[in-house]
Amino acid sequence: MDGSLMQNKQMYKGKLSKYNHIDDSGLKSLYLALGERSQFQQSQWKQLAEKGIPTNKHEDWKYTPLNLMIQPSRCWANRVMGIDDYLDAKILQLSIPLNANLLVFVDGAYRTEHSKIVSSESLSVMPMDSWNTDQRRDIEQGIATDFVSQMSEALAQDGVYIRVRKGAQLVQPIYLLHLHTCKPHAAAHYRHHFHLAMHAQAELIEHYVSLSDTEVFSNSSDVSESAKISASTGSRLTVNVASNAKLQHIKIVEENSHHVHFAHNDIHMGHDASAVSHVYFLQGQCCRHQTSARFKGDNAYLSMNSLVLPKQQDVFDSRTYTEHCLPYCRSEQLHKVIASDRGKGIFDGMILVSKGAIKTDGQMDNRNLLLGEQSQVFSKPKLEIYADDVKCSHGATTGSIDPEQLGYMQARGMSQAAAKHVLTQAFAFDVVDQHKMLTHSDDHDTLAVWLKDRIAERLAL
Amino acid sequence: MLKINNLHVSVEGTDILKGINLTVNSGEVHAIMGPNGSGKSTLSSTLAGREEYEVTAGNILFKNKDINDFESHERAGEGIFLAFQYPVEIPGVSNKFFLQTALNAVRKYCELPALDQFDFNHYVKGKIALLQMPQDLLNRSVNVGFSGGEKKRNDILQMAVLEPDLCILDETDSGLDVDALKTVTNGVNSLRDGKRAFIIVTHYQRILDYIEPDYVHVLYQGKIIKSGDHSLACEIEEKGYGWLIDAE
Repeated sequence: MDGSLMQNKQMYKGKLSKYNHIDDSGLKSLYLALGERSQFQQSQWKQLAEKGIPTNKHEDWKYTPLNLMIQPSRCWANRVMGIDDYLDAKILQLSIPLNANLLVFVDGAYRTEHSKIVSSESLSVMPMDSWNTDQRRDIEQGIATDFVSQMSEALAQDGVYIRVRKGAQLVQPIYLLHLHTCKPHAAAHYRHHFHLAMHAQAELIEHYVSLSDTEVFSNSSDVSESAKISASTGSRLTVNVASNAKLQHIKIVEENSHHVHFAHNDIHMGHDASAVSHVYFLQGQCCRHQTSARFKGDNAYLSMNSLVLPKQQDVFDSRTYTEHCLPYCRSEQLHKVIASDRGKGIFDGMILVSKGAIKTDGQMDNRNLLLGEQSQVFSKPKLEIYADDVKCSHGATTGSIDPEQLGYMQARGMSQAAAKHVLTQAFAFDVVDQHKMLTHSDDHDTLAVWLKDRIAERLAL
Repeated sequence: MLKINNLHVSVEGTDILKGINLTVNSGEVHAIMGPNGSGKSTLSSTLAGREEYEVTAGNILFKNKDINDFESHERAGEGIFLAFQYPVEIPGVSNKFFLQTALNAVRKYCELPALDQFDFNHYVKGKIALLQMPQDLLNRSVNVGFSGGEKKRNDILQMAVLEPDLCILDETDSGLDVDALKTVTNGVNSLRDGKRAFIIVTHYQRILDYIEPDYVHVLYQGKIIKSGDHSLACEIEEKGYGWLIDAE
């Protein structure tokens, strides 16, 4: 009697446990396969191993299945250098047609031979294996270290350190294209750092794209194995926007339905700096992205926005963490989820206003549209305020298409399907229209048009 | 053009209209008056084909077609236009895009080719000039941030663009001040071409000072209890509905 009770208790404890042992995942063999690791990477791995892998009993991991991310145990990197005609064709097909500083990463490795830097007088690009001690030190301070950020730090395969010179005003955006040929069971982690020196202005685009499902499976020799375990990418980008600098950042994820993407970005804001950041999850099996921001000087402005479009059984998770620790700073956020079919969307946002951060203005809005009977959205906007004399607000709304609006449009001759399409598109395009022209890029319009086309395509299917 | 025979309509199981008979010929202006809850808005919504309104008996013939099974966008395609009591706000959709999409949907229904950007711009500019409306209206989101008067004017612009055969104005005058009422009714009058028919649903005879009706009908408890000419409206304004109801 006693014995069985004890056993039951232990089982129960196991089910409620917030962490699993790291050996229960593919991460260890992935870590070992990567070979030599820097001291920092080793320390991150140690912490990760000590803490373990969060389970769905952990508050931050209730809705997003982490197991998909940590199953792959192999790394892709096979550094075949030299121009590859097949890759060239794919890059042309899958990239956004921009006149940009193009940095290409294929399956975890930086491919200089496919990259093209046109503004070399204003920026320097250092690949990960040639980072010096100063550069390595620059990347070590995380704002809100969590499982995802430590995982990408420890397992980073490649990445670049980009520095835009003081006062430089880049007309051509910096475009980081990550192309994945999606060998199943494998993972790649990227580690990038972007430093925008004082008074500099630049636009940074992160694009993660994989070959289509049909292409992957026609290439794959073992379909049954690949169907079981997804491919995964992790990424960590830290950005330093120095005083009076201006940054426009856009991240787009278009992985296929057997591909998982997890990422954690940090943005450090200097005094009088401004930045606008947008995250788009257009496609992928499971995606999670967090942007953590910290104001390191006063009078800075930061706008963080996201649009995620989960369909079928996708899980898309978008998070922000904003630390207002100095006075007179302003942050604005608009996050939208459009969930169709059985898609699941998650928004989690936190604004922390420390004591002394007077005159802080922090706005966070989360608006969600449910298109399917079984689609779900979980929204958790949070404020923590320790200062007086601040203006902060958060709001979240979730609903389906307004029948009044639908009725009005039908009365003007549009069919129900056409009216729904117009309304859903308008809801989505609102986020794209928030791209504020902080920088003088030639390609703002091209990018917005390209994005709207992609969004319309995704919503129409 | 429109022939309503013994129309019975219920909403969520409650009978609202209990045998309406009405004939509207082209070029005519009919006013439908009546106290609150008499079924005026139900009549206009039923004509426009809103789903919640269930026809339990009788029929509606529009241009000799029984339109009972027509969805509201098909009725719009046939040429029925309802100006709403409360025009709906649609954030993120520009007026211009809305008008173009609506017009091309109706044109498609009529098996006409869609108007391209260039032709549409030209077309809509003509309508805006006709109604003396500000140009910037086109770039604003549909009805968002519009005043009550602007919303109603916007509905009239939609009417001008879609060029319907039958226009139903559902309490368009409610919530309008005298100046706004004048602008809106001027718009309506400029669309009167001798062929287009109008049904004006209203509480007050005020709007009828600006749009002269050919016939006035009084609706009470789901039935038309009296019909007459413009003088009937004046009489109601003076005496209220009581004497008519009592006579009933």
